[in-house]
Amino acid sequence: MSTPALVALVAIALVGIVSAVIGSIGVRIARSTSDFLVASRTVGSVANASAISGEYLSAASFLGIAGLILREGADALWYPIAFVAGYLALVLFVAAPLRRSGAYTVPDFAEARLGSPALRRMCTTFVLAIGWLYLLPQLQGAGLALTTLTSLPSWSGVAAASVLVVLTVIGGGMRSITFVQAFQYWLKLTALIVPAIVVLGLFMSDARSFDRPAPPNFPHDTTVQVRTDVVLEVTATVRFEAAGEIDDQPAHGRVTWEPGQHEVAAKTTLTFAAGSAVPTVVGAPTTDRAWLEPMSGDAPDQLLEIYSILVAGFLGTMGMPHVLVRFYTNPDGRAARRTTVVVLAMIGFFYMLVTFVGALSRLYTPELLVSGQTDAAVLLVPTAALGNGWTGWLLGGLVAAGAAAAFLATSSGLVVSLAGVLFTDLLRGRLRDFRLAALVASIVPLPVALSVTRLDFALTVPLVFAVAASTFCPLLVLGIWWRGLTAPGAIAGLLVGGGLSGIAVAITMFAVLPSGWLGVLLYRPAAITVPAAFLTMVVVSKLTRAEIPPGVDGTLLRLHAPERLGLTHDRLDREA
Amino acid sequence: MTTFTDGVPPLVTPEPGDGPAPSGHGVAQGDKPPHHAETSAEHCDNDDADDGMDTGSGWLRDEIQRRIAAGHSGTGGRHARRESVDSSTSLGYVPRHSVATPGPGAPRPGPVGGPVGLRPTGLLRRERTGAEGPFLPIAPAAWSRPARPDTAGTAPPSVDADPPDTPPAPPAPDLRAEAALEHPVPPAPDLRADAAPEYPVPPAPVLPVTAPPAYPLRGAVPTALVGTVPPIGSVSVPALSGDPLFTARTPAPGSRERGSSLAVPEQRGVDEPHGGPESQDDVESRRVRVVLAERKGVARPVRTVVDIQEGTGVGELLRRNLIGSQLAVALRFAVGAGLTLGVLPLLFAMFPELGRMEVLGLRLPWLLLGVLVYPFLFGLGLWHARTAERVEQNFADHVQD
Repeated sequence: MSTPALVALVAIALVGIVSAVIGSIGVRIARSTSDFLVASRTVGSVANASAISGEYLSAASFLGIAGLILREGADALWYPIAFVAGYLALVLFVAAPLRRSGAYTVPDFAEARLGSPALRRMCTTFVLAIGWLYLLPQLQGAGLALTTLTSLPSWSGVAAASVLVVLTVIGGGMRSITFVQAFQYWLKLTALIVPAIVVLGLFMSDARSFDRPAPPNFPHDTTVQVRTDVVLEVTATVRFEAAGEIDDQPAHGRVTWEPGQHEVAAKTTLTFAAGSAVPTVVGAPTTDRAWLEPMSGDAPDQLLEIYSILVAGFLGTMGMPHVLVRFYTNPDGRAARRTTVVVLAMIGFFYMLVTFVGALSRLYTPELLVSGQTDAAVLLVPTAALGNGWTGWLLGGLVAAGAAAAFLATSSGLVVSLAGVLFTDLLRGRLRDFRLAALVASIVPLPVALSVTRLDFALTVPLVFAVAASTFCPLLVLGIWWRGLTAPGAIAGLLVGGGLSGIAVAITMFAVLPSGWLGVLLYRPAAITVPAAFLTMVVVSKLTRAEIPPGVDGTLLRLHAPERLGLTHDRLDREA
Repeated sequence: MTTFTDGVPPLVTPEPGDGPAPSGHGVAQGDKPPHHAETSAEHCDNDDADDGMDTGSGWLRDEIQRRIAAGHSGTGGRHARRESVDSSTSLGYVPRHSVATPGPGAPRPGPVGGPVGLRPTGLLRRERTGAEGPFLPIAPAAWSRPARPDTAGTAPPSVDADPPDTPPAPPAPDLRAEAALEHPVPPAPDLRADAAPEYPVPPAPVLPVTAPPAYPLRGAVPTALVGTVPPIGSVSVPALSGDPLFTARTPAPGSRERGSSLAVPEQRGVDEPHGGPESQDDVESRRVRVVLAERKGVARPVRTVVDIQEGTGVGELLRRNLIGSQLAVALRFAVGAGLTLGVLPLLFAMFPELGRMEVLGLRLPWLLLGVLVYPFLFGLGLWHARTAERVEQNFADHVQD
């Protein structure tokens, strides 16, 4: 194994160990069930905000966004905006009332608000579905990081990540998770700031510009290993060495590509000389200038895609189970709001850095455009920019640690929230069962993560957000603000929103998408499914007006009245 | 001033030999239980008229000053979390002049019951006091809350309940008028709640923890009390009687207000240094029982809170106001953010030259979407959080007044 790989492995292992240590220190403080589940609701604003940010900034953020920007350019800027704007929606509509509801999970909230066990069961199902769906890319991302940085097989990364997650969660529950995730946020930030500063320095001294009508160039002689079949687009004549299969024919030795599209089969090796133009994956902007400008593709479809992403991010964040569960650890509704504002600042700054590193990675790691593994951009930039040497390796190690933190934070947060739902709904019981629930929550997605081919983060993550936006967002927003919501209405809305977005997910993952607006709507379904879910909830609730729960006024009042009036009750405490 | 947990009226009831407290109060109280307003006002007036013994007002002044001071140095003020509020104002408070109880500087006992069970306690208390009748035999139980002599918080509703047939005692009118002058235009609650979202919300910190909010009512009450020392009842009357909601719709207050608003001044009068030293010992020994007896009741909502909980007309209106104005605020921010973000892709699609402009060395789209959008979102979030807090605070102030 090479030295950089060893450095990266050591860094990843360190992150795991430190997380476990912090978790086990936290466990000494955690004594009661309440400690376990919601950190006894005494976590301070900044610590809580760090934890929320640490949990939220997943592999998709750390690696996926940078990769998207490397490939798509200005059009990819909308992804991080959507993910950050989601917290604005949280502040506006959900944060304080949700905290004041005193409920611990979304199903709990649904039952407290609408008093329907059927609805509760349905919410439980959706929480589990969304959580597991979101765990998939996290685990696979751990595999990607390990394969990219070391030569280990990707299953080992997936398995190691699961084991670590289970250990931290079982060790300390939410309390230790809070500290672990707060630590992981700052680690991720460091792992991004340092390379960003270094790369910025290099960029300044280079005085290179993106504003050229040509494709990017390879900075060095570069060998690209193509791992999956890929179609490349060439705008200028390229000459390179190839070993493998190109355009369905075996190719060995010198190859010359004229402008056009070329198919490269998996396991082909391409060797480019320094300075030659970079072929790009089809669909992405080919020249630097096109990359730099927004709306590079077909305008109406692209507009639809951008709006759909915005809707999914803006409304989907509040529906993510691991985000929601975090709000119950705030002391009161006002603190929940303030925490969210701090989160806005924290993740906003983080995404600024990600954008920056992603843009510069086009200069230093253009070979990723050929192999299609753009998600690895952040991981490879340090070594690519600094060359082979200890500085580059150490920096690479730092980034690897940050990436590991990203996977661990999101996965453990997801596992905690899933375990919380399993624990309170399916396995009603004591502490021991919470550990069992955590184990179940993390084991279920493992086989799928190991067997299914990894999809781009850019594809999977917004899909999961779209599902969350079309199910829990209408439930929460209408449940909090509209007294007319009824249980049948909520169930119908969940079915419509969840059903439509679920179909879209299935088709995207297992079938070839049609082109045009229909294809866009299938892999970015939020623009249709969210309004449909809202509409269904409102219409069905209006039709079943008799079903409005009798205590609705009191419930709504508790959600909105400030704590000092003494109206709020914690459901968890009350049950205890 | 008398904010947070003031809902709990001090259930102090005079005992027969309880110092110079005029027995006439008890009589008045007993005679017309439903007309607390009357009795309370009358009783206050009596206090003033009584043999030059300025006890009620003197006590009140001291008490208010103490409270203001406590509010200033207290743990967090009106925005503090529930627990801390409780512990600083009610649980930890030890009556003045008390020898047997630990002094004010003594460590506070932790909240026994915790924040749970606020409501049950309130209910429990209400039914008990109702059963007990306003005074005498149940002194020990009634003593249990010397920590909340919040007459200003509790008196208004009762005073207000029945204004027409209140026969003002001779000295009263001018005091009342004076107090009324302090509040030429008593702000109506619904107006306040409505106006809240309109506040420009400056970046300045939201209402310093210590200072009372700036609108006239709350600001004026302490001044009036401290400066002119009017009796409790007359101070609070104008504030609330100007309020159509309270006069028109509020049902007669529950029995527990009755005992409190009547009894407090007497009790406090006894407590006053001028108030006959020979009685002080009695009072204090009883106080010990009080403090220890029922500390676990943390807070009981004031009557308006009960109103909104029980969905009376007032409560319903208040609740709708709160939710409506919060929703209006949230929607306004959401539309602002949505329009700003939503227009940009359209602009970039319709005017491609925008995407080629360079500002500060960066392409416009990159500058806007990669950098500036994040401070923008953060600013919106911060602004909204402050606005929403202000709406809430107005609601709570209003409900607790």
